[in-house]
Amino acid sequence: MAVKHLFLALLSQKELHGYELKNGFENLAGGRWPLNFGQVYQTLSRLERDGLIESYEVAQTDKPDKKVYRLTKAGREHLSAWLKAEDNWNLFFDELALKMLAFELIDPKEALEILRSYRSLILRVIKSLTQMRAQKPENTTPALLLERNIYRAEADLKWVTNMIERWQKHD
Amino acid sequence: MIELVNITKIYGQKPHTVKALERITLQLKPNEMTAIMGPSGSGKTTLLNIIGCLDSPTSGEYFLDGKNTSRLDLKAKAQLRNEVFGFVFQAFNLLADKTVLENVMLPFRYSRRPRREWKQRAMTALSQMGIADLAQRYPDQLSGGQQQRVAIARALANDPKVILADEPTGNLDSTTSKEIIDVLKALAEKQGKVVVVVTHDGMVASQAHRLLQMMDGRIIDDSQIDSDSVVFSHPSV
Repeated sequence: MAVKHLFLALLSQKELHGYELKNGFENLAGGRWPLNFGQVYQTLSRLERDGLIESYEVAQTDKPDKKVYRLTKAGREHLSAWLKAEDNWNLFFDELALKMLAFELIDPKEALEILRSYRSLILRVIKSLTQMRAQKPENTTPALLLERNIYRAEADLKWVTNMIERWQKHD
Repeated sequence: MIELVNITKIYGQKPHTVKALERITLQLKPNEMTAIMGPSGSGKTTLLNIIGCLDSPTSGEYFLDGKNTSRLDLKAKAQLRNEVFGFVFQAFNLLADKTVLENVMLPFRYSRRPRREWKQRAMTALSQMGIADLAQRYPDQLSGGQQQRVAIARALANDPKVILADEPTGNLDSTTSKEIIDVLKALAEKQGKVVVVVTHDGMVASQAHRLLQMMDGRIIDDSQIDSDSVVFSHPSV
């Protein structure tokens, strides 16, 4: 799903072959989302089947022909619709959301333990993200992605700290 | 090195009293950077001030290198404060009409160090902070990050064993905050200092070795932040 749209975005800049699309995607994701060739070619063949991209062969002297992909008009419209669409907010966006549903059903001490270990995870997450962020050049896509994650994790740290305080009183 | 036992701090006169700290027991060690977090009014700054001998507890005992400081008179306390502690503040607290070098030399006025050593010691502290080339500038010619480095150099000038920082990154952007916190952390790790940082910022706290969480004058959580690597996932599509 997501990969497909990023391929369209990459192709909106220029024509690319499969390997360049794989690299282009991985660079945008800051090396944190590797793709395998199977995924890449499956995605491309579906996009082509749906008429969102088209391809042609380029002859190479000592290697097999290279397939080059380009965006169609329908592909450009599809990309634009995806970019403009309002996103859903997933209320159950991680495992902790599901564990929380069980809090009323388990020993409160166990719930407090879960919250404490989540807090320690969040602190390590913020620490790692901050270090990763410091290694990325300013204002690049990977840096911006990390910054968003840092903000979310900081908000989550506030939330979990607040939860722990309440759960302790309740104890 | 630092040990607080059952420290309580009450402000005001009965019946209008406020309990700022309630039975705090805590040890702080060299080589460790400890962050203190908590909502406003939870006692963070009061605790920092008591650790730094800027304020005295209402009850409880405070041991510094095994010595009970609760029994010291004001003069002895002031001397201890100047020799053992270096303070860093959110607003940098540099004197605007003094050069960077003069600012860093200020603590020597209250120390027993001979005047001929002042300049060299101050320059050493500035070099450690990587800003020796700014020695002749005035604070308003520096960026926020540079001003905080000057303030840290000033805190280091007397070679204190303990660095106490109250919201040291409160006026800085996130990139500069990270740099300043790396500097403070290195003082703990490489120079064996006790470093305590009060902060609201989760990013700053996450870089510490240990995190104390305060609430209503008590420490409600005291945990080590380990450096186990985190597994980051991505969609499987």
